[in-house]
Amino acid sequence: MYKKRIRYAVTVFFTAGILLFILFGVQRLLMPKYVGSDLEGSMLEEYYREVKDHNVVFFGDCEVYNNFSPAVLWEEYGINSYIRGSAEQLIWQSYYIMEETFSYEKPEVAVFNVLSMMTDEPQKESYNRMTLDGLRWSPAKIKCIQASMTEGEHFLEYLFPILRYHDRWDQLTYEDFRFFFGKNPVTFNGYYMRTDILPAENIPKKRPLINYQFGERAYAYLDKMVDLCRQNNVELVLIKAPSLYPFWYEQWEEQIVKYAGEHQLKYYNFLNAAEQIGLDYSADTYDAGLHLNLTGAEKLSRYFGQILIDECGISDRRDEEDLAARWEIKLERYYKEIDRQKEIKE
Amino acid sequence: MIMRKSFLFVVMAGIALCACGCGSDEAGKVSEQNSFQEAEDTELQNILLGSESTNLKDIETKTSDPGLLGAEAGQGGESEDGGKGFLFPAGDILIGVDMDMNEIIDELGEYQSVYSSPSCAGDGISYVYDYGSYEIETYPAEDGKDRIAYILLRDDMVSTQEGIDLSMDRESIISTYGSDYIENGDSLTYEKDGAKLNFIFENGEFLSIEYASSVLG
Repeated sequence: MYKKRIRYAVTVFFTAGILLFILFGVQRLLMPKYVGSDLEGSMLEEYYREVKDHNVVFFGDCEVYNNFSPAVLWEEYGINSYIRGSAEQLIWQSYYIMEETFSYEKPEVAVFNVLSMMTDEPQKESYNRMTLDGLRWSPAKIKCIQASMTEGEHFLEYLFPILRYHDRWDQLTYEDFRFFFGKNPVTFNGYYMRTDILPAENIPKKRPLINYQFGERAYAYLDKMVDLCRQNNVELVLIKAPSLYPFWYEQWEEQIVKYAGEHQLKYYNFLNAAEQIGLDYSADTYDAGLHLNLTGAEKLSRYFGQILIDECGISDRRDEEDLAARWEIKLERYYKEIDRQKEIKE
Repeated sequence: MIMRKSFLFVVMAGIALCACGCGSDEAGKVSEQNSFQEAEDTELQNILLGSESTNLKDIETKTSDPGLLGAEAGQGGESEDGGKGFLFPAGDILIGVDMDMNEIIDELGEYQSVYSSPSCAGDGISYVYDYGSYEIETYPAEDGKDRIAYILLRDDMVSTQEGIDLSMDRESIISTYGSDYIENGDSLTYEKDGAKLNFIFENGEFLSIEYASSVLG
């Protein structure tokens, strides 16, 4: 009788285990891999492979992951940096990603791009997914999901993505199987490399807005970001990347300058420094001024790297053997990718 | 026996899960964006060459099949495909927000310039068409069409269907559109069918008139 019970319990346990294993496998298969297109969905998860001892970590939307090259910051200044950016990363997402990052490491400087101050409400599920699915489970991720969900989204679908993606079964391709067990990184310390050129032409005139005031929610999260950085002894640096579109209005600039002044934060608007940086919008952008290409990102990184050294006191770490060895591998991949993109283009 | 039953159950559950396809259209949206390409080189090639497909030269190919047009001038109301809220008389036709741009672009005549603004994550492209006195921005709608996000009137060469242009004042607007407006600073907003008609003033100057879709928030 006793033996029978044991056997029954083992069978139930074993069966449940197999069922869970299959469910997990099916879920993994059905989830988008973000490899062929929408690479931005793969960006945030790549951070977990890193040795987490960065001096500088960037947070924000495409204006950070397209416009700064950590490889240049390392090569030219010995700054070990990482970009935790994702497509249309909203300010509350940047805040929670920052909170999560600080649970792993305490960089000397956290750089936040202020464009997302313009948004005060959750926007689109597809962008949420590209940011949230790649985060590891943590209290910060739970809060981030709760802050980000649009109407019609459910927390359970984030907890069990199979509930969300179950109908992808008829869209599965070879790539879903190919990248089932893992995939190669798509970024270079969070930087999304593009070597092509599309000159900035026909930039529309500024569209007058009915209200230029940043929202209360955006300000609340900026306040939280300031507090979080102070609690963790991390210097928060605000930036505005030199993207020509969407517009960065003077009224927005005034609010950020005022906020930075009131909170003793450094703020750098690179739009105003395009000439000093040496940006040529006919050659340094791949999508007509929205984002910089490789040459643009490298110029901007050189310019900002000097600021980080001179004004934020970041130290040169090129004499650290382990770190230098890690970067040697990273740089090899970086330059290979440049060559590969150039070959394809040719 | 129990083992056999359990195994059968596990297999059946797996098959059922794989076969389930009862999701809503909304649920399919994210996954549809993730169609993968063949190999990494081809992927990159597509990305690099794809950036050229956003080149403005290609935009001409987007204008085929003029087919359904906006409501004919003078008819007013909502057109068959979009055109929510207030309508703007653009030449011989009335256009409105959320209308399919490709269906009316031929009727609007030649634009002075167009700017394409791809989304950060391949979620479609927005276009800003400059017609001199007015400007139209489109957004990539879920149905794959480029629908009108806003129509912006920049000078007094054009006016609203009700006759307001930028040479007029606040009082004229209120006497034409009534007092059911939302005030934001000096600016006035009227709402109809979820779409907005904004009369934008800055420091007392009447800067622009804007027909705005609800997608702009």
